[in-house]
Amino acid sequence: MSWEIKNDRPVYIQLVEELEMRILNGTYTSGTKLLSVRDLAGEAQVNPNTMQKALGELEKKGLISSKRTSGNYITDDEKLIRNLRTELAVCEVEAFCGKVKKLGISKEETIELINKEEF
Amino acid sequence: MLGKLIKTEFKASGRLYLPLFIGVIFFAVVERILLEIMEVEQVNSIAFNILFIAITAIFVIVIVSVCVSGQFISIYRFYKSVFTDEGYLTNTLPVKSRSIIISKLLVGVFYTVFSYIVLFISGLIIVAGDLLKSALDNLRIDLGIENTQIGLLDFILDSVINLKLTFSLLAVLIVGSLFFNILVFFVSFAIGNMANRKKVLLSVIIYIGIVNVLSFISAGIALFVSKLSIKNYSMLGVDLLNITLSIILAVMVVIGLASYFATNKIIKSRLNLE
Amino acid sequence: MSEILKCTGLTKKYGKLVALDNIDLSVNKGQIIGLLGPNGSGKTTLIKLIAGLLKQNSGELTVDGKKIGIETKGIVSYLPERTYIPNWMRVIDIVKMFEGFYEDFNLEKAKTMFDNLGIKFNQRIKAMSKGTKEKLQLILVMSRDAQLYLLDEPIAGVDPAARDYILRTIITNYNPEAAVIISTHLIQDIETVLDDVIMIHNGRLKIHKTVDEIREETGKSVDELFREVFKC
Repeated sequence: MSWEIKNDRPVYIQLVEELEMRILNGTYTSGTKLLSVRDLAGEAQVNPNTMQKALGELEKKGLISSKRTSGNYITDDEKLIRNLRTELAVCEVEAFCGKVKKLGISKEETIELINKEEF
Repeated sequence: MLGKLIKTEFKASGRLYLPLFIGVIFFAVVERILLEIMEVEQVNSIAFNILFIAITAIFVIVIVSVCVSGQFISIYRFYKSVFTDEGYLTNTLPVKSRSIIISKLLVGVFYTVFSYIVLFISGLIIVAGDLLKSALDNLRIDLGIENTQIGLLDFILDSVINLKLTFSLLAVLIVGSLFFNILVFFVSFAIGNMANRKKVLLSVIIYIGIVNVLSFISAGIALFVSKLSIKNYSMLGVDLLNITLSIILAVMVVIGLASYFATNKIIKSRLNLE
Repeated sequence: MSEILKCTGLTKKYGKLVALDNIDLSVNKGQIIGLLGPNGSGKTTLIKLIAGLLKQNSGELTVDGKKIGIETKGIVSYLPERTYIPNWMRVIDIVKMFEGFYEDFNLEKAKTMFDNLGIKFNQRIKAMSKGTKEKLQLILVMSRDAQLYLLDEPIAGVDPAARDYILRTIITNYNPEAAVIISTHLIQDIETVLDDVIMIHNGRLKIHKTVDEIREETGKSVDELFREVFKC
């Protein structure tokens, strides 16, 4: 599992996205303890302060909770995870539909194409 | 920290000196054994003679290298650890630059003295016993004191007591010159370090320059003192000698201290590592 | 955040050549800083001044509020471009030397890193490859619990695996009480590791910003910006 940091956008935003993705898709199991900031930063080869900032962002969203002494834990609020996942999926589908619409393809045709796609 | 520096330098230099010291003692022992064989067995074959000459030649080479290396190794160590890549380590240690100089100076003087002791011991190994006795007897005869009541030792003691001042001056001068010579080398290499190319060559030239200037000064002093003696007929030869020695000592102390401070200043603010 | 390094009007000349020209700079604890600039821009001069190998012609330079001297040398851990470990030593000799002279040397840390890289205490420096020597030196420098690390071109000329190891070492040894200054001209490799970027050119300070500020403001990576700023 690699961290790909692209050149064009702030590093911490990309870290937030990647971490969020990992929590939502279950790579990081809910309720478990997350690696330390330093280890995460080492894995991603990024600045520990930046990683800390990204984790702070996730904490604001409620995806992780930090316990003062024992580190960061992934939320066990399954409902929150589900909701966020759906939210994100809706965003993606909206974007996708917008593009397909531009091509002038009808909804039925699109669904047919999606059905052909391996999932 | 000075103690730690001395310890480190002691080990680093010792590594270079030790093989030489061992070599001197080893060849002295071999030489002595060969001498004994010649004496007792009266061997006189060509093969044995060739062996003897070969061993003696090596022995002489080792002795000469100890004489030369005495100071050379301390200069080499100083240059290498302060002004080459190793300088990145030496000069960023949390120690005063003067501690670095002093540690290397003391260790240098120690090993120089020690190398003389080793040479003396190797000499003893070769002549100890009957050989030493006959050598002393010869000396007595040469000095024309073989039949007097005074032994050689008394003779030496007598002259030391009579010429107390002169001998103490000489002793201080000999010990001082060990420090002095190393310090002049240090400052030569410190100045040489400021150049951007051919640092070692330049340092050697500077050293030779300083030594030459000093011999001019010495010659000047000798001239001055001899003029003084012409003016003062009442002056004794011994006084003359003492005055000369004192002046040389004073010059040495001044130049030595100047070299030390200049070296320190250069290491502190004019270091020129590549 | 408290300040660990401060330069005001720092100027260094080599004869007529001005290597650093009136540099004002402040670095806080807990930061990893990239010191960027083309060759000959003054990066190494700045680092040597902080390490106490050079003396400035004018201006002030303090580490933890103190002028450069024995005290600052005791809290600054410096990795030069050169390999400086005497060839005749074994690993144990240089480790003992570090332990003896630096109060902040952490032997356990060094042991762990030696184990990771398969470096043995009785190994001779003479028999080591250049790469191994460089790694050994990095371990020694990073094993100190120093307050300011100065790493001069630590990733120049090393293979990608070694580069990753070096970066990981820097990150995992991160200490909020210490700052790290890394000089390099290979920005792309390290820019995600940095908090701040300092760019100097011809001895002058050009830019001092955070990596994300640069990305946000310009939409470019630090590397791309660097190429633009220093275009030939």
